[in-house]
Amino acid sequence: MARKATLSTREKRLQAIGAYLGPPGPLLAEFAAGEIPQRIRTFAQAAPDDILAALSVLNGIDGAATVVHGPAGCVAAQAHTAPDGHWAVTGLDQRDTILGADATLSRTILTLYRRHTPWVIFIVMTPVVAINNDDARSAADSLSAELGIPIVVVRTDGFHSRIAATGFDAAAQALLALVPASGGGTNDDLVNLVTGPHALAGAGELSPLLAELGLQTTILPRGAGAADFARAAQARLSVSLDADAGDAFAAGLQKAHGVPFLHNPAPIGLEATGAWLRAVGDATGRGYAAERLHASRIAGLPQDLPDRPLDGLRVHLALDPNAALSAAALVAELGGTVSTLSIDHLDSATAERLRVVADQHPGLILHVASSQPFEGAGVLASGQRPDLFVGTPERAALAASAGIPTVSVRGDALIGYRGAAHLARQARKALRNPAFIARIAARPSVYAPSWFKRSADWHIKQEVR
Amino acid sequence: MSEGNAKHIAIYGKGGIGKSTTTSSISAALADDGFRVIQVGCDPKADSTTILRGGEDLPTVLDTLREHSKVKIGDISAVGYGGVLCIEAGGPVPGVGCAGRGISAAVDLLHELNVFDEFNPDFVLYDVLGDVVCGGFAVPIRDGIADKAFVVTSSDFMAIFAANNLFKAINKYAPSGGARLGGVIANNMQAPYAEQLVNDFARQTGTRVVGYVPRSSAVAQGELYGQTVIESAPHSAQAEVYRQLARFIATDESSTIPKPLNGPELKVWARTWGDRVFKEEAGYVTDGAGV
Repeated sequence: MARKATLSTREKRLQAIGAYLGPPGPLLAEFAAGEIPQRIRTFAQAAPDDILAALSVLNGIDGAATVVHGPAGCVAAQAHTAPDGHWAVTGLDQRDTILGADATLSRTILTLYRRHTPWVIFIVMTPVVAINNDDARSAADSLSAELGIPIVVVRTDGFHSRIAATGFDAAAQALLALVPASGGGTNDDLVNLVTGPHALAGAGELSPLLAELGLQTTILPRGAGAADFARAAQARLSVSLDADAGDAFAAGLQKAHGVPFLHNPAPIGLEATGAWLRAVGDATGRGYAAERLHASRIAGLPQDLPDRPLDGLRVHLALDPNAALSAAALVAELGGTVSTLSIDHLDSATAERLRVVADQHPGLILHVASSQPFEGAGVLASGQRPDLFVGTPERAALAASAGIPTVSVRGDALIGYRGAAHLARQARKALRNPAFIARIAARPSVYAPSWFKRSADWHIKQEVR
Repeated sequence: MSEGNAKHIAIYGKGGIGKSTTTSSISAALADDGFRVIQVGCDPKADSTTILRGGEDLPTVLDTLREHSKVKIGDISAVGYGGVLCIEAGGPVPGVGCAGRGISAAVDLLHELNVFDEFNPDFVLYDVLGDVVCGGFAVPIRDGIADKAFVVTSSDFMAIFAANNLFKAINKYAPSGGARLGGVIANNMQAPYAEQLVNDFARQTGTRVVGYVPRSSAVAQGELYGQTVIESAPHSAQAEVYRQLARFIATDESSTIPKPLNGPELKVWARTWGDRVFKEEAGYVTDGAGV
């Protein structure tokens, strides 16, 4: 009997870990040995789960609608992050959990369809329906036939994996169901730019560059509609701009539809952008043109971009894992040294890149934590105080509170030549305005000084079985 | 104890071991002795009280909840033999929902409807599905709902295994106000070694056997008519066994917290008994062998 498709967690598929603080060497040795003991936290603060990760991708699909299949509380974050989105929650109650929630799910799907007439509806599963083993697929299949649109179950559950990025894989699995076979038709000038949940700035930088090489782009899944998914299988190749969120979809396109996946690090940093352009150029027979394009862009960099603006500065990078590892090269290009790298998880796919970064930035400290602001504050309060903090808005706020000049940025804004210039400018602004940071830091800390007496990794323990 | 002066008693045991027959026969015997009894079937199959009601159908609590948002006592109960108030918790359609939560919700509803205050029972018997497969099925022995639990077992190893699991649940909940164990009801006693095997298991787990119910065709015959043996063959020896059991349960006040065997201990114990039974059936005779 054919088993239904399963979804491996990041822990199983890539040996991902979500807790670590220290020099990367010992951890890299564990990855090299292939035996990575999982660390656990004896004290943990709320962190995103796979459901939020999947929703962050699905919320970006143009014209789609999403049913969150669970109690009303499961959409508390969604109400904050996508207040105007086309979504609904089944709002399961005691009765639904006992008697089954098929009817409630069907009713919610129909209501959502009538209200927004989406071209696709996603059903995002939550812990309650996962524990109950509710059969959402039957309702999806039945209504899909009735309404004539795809209704796709997203295999999240909120508890199976400690790594939120597992939700990106669940979303990718659902999105692949929307890509029809190419029917043999291939467009040799078409490239899929696979984004993450935030990567439109990066795509906005790279798409015009590829156009100069004579390549059309389909940007997806962020901002993509039915037509974009319909032609995804016709592309010459796929490139992912956000390896953490997008690689599973790009790899799935290769596996299911034979669209080659050009597996290159995100083009963050001038050299990396050049390498990325050359790789796409070589794969599409445009290698020389790509080389010339890179040279012309380097020559045309803004005149106000100072040479080595981070010269001698110790920089704390706190971005999504692959973006952070790519941004380390950009920091080096701008003259800085990465003192601490904060990422929400590390896995076997990124361990080798971490080794390169560690070699390039001696003394690097690695902090692996999703959210955990208390732990993050402890790292900043320890001997690792940097000259500049470059991180996502949530993490940047923490650094600013600690009185550290801060650049608040997401990885996609650092992509390409524009991204390099953006970081240089933002760093200069942050470093030239110490009064602003001093004012923020003057506010009372939410953590009493006594909280920091223990080491920042006090609550991270190696799991013993 | 929950409401009033009623004794709330949960009866557990492996599926198919004869829990419903035993529970219904005890209910019938208690009713014959003049007690007011409620029997609550906590099994999605909803067949606990069938032989108290002549085999008639009874809407379950969950079926009624599914169809009506407001439920009255009369919708979910029927008066059976000797005035026993029969209630079936029921469960979801097979394959969907969560039966364990259903048990929990049904018991909650009975309290909300003041069933126990209005009927003013002397005894409430909960007949609970098989093993404690999840937290929902442990509801009657948690949170002070039942005062005491009895476990029905035969001498079959799987029944003993299930009983041992039930002891684990009782052992877990009893210290924090859950039900304590009244004892083991040894059912379906037929094999020559059956009583001694169950006795030994009770001794090993720090419990006691409170009654031995032999296998009886009178029980099977009564069930075919939708009756307990108390009703169908009131003067039979089997009916007297159930009466004795009911009187013991009605009057005995003692209870224990069992000490379940762990996995390896249970395996060793079972192997020892396997050897003894084999020797008996092979005709070995040794000094002191009591099989």
